[in-house]
Amino acid sequence: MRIVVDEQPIEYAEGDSVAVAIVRADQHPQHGGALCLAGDCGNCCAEIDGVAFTRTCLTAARPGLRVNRHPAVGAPPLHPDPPVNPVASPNHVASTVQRERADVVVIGAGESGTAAASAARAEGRAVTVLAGELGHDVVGVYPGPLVIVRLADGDMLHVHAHDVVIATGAAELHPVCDGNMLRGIFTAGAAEKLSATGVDLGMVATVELEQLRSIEGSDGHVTGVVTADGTSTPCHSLIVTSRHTSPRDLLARMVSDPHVHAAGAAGAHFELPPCPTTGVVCACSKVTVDDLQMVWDKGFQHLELIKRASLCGTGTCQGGACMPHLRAFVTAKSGQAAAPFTGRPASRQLTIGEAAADMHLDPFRRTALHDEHIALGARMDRFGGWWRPWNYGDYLDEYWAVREGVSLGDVSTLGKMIVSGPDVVEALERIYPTTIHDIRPGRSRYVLLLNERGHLIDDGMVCRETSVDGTDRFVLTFTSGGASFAEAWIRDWIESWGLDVHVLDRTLALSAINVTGPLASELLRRVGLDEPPRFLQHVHADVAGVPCHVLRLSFTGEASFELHHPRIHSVELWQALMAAGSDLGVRPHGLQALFALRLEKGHVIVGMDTEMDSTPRRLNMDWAVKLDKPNFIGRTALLRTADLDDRRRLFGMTMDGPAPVEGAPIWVDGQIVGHVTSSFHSPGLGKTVMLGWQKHTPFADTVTIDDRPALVTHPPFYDAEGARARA
Amino acid sequence: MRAPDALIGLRVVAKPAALDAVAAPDGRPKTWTMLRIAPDDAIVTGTATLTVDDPFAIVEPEYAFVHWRLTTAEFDGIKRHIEWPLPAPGVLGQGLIAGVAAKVVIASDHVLLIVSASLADELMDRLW
Repeated sequence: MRIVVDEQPIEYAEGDSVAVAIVRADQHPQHGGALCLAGDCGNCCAEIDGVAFTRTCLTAARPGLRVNRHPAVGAPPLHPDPPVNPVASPNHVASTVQRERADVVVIGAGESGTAAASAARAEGRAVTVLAGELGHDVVGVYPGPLVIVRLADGDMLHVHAHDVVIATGAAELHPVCDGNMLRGIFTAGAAEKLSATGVDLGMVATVELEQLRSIEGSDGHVTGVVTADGTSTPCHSLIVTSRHTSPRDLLARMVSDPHVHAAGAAGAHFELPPCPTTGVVCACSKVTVDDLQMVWDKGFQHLELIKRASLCGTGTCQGGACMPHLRAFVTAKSGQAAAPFTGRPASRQLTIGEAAADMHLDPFRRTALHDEHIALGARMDRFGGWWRPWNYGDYLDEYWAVREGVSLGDVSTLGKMIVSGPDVVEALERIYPTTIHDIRPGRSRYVLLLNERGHLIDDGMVCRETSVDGTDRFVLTFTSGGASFAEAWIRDWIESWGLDVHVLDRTLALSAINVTGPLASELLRRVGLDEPPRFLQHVHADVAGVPCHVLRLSFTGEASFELHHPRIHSVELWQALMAAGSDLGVRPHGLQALFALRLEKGHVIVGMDTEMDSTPRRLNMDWAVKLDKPNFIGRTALLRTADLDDRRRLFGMTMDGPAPVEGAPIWVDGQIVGHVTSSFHSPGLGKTVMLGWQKHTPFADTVTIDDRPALVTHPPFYDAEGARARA
Repeated sequence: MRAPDALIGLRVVAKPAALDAVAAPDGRPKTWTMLRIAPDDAIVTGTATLTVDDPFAIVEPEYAFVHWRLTTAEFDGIKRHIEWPLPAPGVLGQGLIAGVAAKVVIASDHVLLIVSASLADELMDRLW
């Protein structure tokens, strides 16, 4: 039976691990370094069947298994021709996750582990024992606590436990001295395993770690050992014993949780070895004693800092081999006992497939009209947590349909919320910076949503419902991407204030279609809405037989009617509108056209034109803030900053020629003063219109973008009087 | 897997005590099922009208959700995607299933799996 190491077949014996097979062939899984054959160090890691950093001491040999040593310097190379589709990779492992629950998880089946498991069972607790000999490769312990395990068949096991007992025992110390990265060095435990499997180590010398001065070698292999008294002993293999051991505590160091504790040797106090003076301390990251001394001399004199500065302990074994020596170094230098550094999952190298097993991307929602958009040839894209149509082929066709005819837009993604209650007006007055109490039933008002610092976090409409029984009720709308946050924000404030208000998020229950364009009213009359509401009014009415809440507003600059309706009727309403408007040239528009249309009106998109600290003043939207109101979120901050100079302002700009890319720098006198947030070459206006930030005073009237002059001007660029929106 | 069915019902937001005491109009016997998703928020199926003793209660037809009525064997097939403790029979459980927010009600001979209609296709792709 043979495995293939660096394209050379080598024989192995029944029961051999890959590492044992390689040593049996008088070779080394890497290029040198002591072998423990217990999974504690990274010195036997190699690429096995295409998966790098695999511990060969924990991998059983099997016929035809391919091993490639890692390069002596640097990381193992990526495959030269990576597949475009990772799922199609020959190395892709479709791991699945099994899930379990237990009162107690015991990691380790030795004496301490067995005792811990027995004690827990005696208390009537459900116990799960995880151990290498049972086919469990414990990857990490996470807060919860949650124990993640790789199973022998490649699947993953997630065990949620109330308590975790880590009984992983102790590890043997690796030697740190000159020559400690030669081939032919073994711990006593490794030597025992090799002897038991009949591996001939040739002429062997055995030395106690505490008596070890240096290891001699030739061509990368051990040739002898020098002890503390200067005696040199020739050998082909060197076995290093020690009266010291080290807690195998990597898992215990991963999480600070009173329900996670180490037992037995894994949690016992250990005496540190002598401070190393020469040699490689961290074999994984090739960190020498001289390296440690250098970072110490530079002022990194704490274990965690030394780790970060030198990378000692950040490699494959995460301190499994080097931790005691590093602690001994720091303790000797500082005179104070150095505690172990934090461990982080994973304790074993994982493939991406194993790490991502059963993990999912955040889902993107589909509106009820998703299939209609696909059927109409829409290019769908992700925006604000939803799949939305970007365009239906030619966004300029869609632009002109809105400007000159009538068009439909799927705005189901807009946040929609019902609020009611005896304190609802008071709550909304505190939430919004504009006045609410004077909104008459059947009317609506554009509102900003500010945080405590007066920064814009969302915007939308407040619609006051017609009261039928004396109770107040409002419908609030929010941006598509901001709806979830806005709901939580509003609920949180209402609860904090102790106000009596009910909140119901209707975003997912109600779809919405925006009917927009100069022929929008005509189209709506054809489907039964004889008296469409006037600008900023809203009514409840049947449209094409579908009960709708009709909001008259305008984001496109033309007359616009948002038809909020039950999701289950979306397709029939959409199809009825498309059919009724066929001779009007009705066509849908996507986000690409919508962004252009609103830009001509100078309407900002929160998160696109705004920044994290955009105040209404910076956005030229002071008109939407009533500072004479007694209280609203952000008022204190706005009052405090109202008289201060402000060096940031969002401006409108126009220029000839094609639109610069969004994000293009804005120049004044050879200095970058800001950037373009939105840009569009308007066929209707015959020029490029933009929004962009100036962050340098005095604000300039002309700027340079893409080496072309641009004129700073106040939007809207289109229909400044708003006559078309009100038509 | 078959397409889900719409979850037909009412969404009721009211004072918790009013939800506790919710009644059918005219004292008719209760024929509905209430899925309490928060102390002040419930989905009620099996009735088109309700009497709620809260003048500011919001009672609206619910269109947001769809559901599958799964056999126990079908549900066993998707359990590995559920990382949270399953609810007791008859109790609403809520959490991520295969990364998608969903609700589960376990009955003696079937399991109701409820998800937002906007995420139903995504959940189907992930589970089946």
